Amino acid sequence: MSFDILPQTVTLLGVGMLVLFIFMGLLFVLIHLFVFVARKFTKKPA
Amino acid sequence: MLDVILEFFSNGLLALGWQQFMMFAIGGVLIWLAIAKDYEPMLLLPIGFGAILVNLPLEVVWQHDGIDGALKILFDAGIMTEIFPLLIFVAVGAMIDFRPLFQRPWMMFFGAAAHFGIFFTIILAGILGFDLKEAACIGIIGAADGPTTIYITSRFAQHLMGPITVVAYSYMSLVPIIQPPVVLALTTKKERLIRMEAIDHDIPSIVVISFPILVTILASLLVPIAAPLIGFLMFGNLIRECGVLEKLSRTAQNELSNLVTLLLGITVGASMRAEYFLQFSTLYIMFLGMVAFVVNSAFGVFFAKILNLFMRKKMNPMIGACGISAFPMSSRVIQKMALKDDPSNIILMHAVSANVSGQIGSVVAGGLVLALVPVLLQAL
Repeated sequence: MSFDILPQTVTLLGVGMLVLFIFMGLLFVLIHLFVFVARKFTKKPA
Repeated sequence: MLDVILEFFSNGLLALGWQQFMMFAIGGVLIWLAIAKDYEPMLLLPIGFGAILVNLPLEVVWQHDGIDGALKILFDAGIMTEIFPLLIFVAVGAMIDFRPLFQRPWMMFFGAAAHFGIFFTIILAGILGFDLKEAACIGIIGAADGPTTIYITSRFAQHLMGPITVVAYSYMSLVPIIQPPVVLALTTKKERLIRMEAIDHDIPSIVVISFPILVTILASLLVPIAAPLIGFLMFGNLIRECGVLEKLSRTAQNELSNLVTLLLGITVGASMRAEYFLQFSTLYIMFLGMVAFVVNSAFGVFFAKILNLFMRKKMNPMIGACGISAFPMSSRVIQKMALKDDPSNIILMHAVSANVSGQIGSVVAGGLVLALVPVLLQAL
């Protein structure tokens, strides 16, 4: 058992999960926005 | 004269020890799993044979008399340069259809939640005595993403390439066995019976074509070091979706994928030399790899349950387990579980959406590990 690198690994968990959620959140917003805009400017077939 | 000839032929025999026989047995088990049990045969069979090849007397296929053998040349050219995993990413990208995810963008978050196990396992590996770089490579097994695992291990802990890759691909093939008990333990029958509304609206092609380009730019802005990983994945997807490169798309999905898989498998097998593989650390890696898979699946389910507390229309929490990168195996497993409780409950496309987001999540998580580990090593 070794707790020497615990501060690093716990920091990695915190920062890693935070950035991962932020990235996925950005993609979530981006997809919503993009689909909305694309629909608005795409002509619907008659 | 006879003595010289006898010595020449006994050289090979004398070079064999119990370790080599042990590795032959391990290689044999991998080949057996591939053929008899159909567990990731495209990878486990070449890996198993590569393990036998590299442990043959005098290691001629690796290095002999100072001259590099064929497998070492392939290893240096394909794994050390990270070319093989990146080419696999092109093939994987060409196989992914992101449309189900565009129809259900909220599923994106499962691709993040179901990667908690990676970081949790890194903590556990650190406690068990692995250094930060080794722990990071072990944790990434939980991403269920072979190329990312190989990519990171080739950078951080080449001496663990053999055990980590074998464990990663073995557990990936065992997703249908690992995930159901975890999901069953964390959900009630009532939750598993939850039906989810079918969503099937058209996605404009401009969205589908622009997505890989935008994701590449966004990911590279946030985690620059992840650019090769996400870039090659999205390049494959762009070839698929652009609509004018049908031939290249088919080549990436079939010929390129098959050829690189073949070379990758036997080359990874060649990293299973007895002196590196037959260590206690291999047992730890097997244990930690399992922990990573289980925690990832469990956290995905937990996340879905937490979201259900706030949602008017409840979602089937089993979907959360699909946030890992094992595509499409994980979504099939979850659909099968849903059908077991209710033969008319179709949640496949929701599961596929979460699974596809897991593909993106695993690559970004890999990039984050690549970026953060050196920083943490310097800072703390």
